[in-house]
Amino acid sequence: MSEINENEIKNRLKALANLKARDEVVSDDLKRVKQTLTSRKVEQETIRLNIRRIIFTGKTAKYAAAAAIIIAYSLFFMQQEPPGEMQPEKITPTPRLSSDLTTLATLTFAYRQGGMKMVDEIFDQALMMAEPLPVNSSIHY
Amino acid sequence: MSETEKDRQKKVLELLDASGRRLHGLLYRLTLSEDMAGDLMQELFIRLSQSRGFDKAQNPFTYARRAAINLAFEKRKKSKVKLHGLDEDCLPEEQGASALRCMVQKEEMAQVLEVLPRLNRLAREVIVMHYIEQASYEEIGRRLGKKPQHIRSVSAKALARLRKLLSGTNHQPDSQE
Repeated sequence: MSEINENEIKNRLKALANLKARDEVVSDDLKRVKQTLTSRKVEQETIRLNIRRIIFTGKTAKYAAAAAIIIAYSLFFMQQEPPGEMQPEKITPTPRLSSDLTTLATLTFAYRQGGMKMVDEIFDQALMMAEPLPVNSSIHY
Repeated sequence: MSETEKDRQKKVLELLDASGRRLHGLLYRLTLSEDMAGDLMQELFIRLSQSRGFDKAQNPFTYARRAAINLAFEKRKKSKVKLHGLDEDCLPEEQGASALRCMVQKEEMAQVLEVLPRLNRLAREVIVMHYIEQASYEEIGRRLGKKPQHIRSVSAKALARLRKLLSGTNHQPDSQE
């Protein structure tokens, strides 16, 4: 086992420091690294675009998009109408003639709802609806 | 690509333009192989382009150099880099020395490189920066955030350790000199 002094080590390290790769090799390597880096940049962008394309063109994605649209519409319409039972629209028949108010059915219904008072109101309404008799009209017996 | 990634890519490309040759030189000296230096350059810059630590680095070159040193020794350790015999730069016409002398010199350099990973990280960096990159103690201290006296002391201890390690593993060829 041979001894080695520090000067010898320094000389070896100095020899290492003086080593130089060939210029054309260095230039080629640097060019290669640059190409790799720029192509990787493009590659990463392409991968991202492909992922986006997969997301937007896949069958499942299409169904999911359709479902999302339907849900959105449903939510929109639900917000327009207040929750709870829908109130049935009140239909209030408007009698055209006073005679409509004085039919047997109407009077019976009115009596059941409010007794004689209601029947009187119905008659008042019927009288209000009835036009006054023409002046020149006469009754002949 | 996010803004951070774009900024990092830009920073990495700027570093390649500004300090690519220097980093390549360092990798070549630490591997003694042009092919391996080229491969490690690729690996180094790919790693840097993916590293979040690189974003935070105040001095990109210092960060890259440290990464290069670690990468080279890691590779050396894994692949057990050895000399492959005579390279083109060992031809006697170019070097003005005998092919045998050139081969021996490479063997000696390889021995030093083989034991360097056995030093601690700071000592290894100081040796590489001071002796291989030929930076002054002041410069190394500034880059590593330590006092020059401390760096000098680390360097001296590292040399003593290297001497011990090389004395234990030194297999010099008979035909040296």
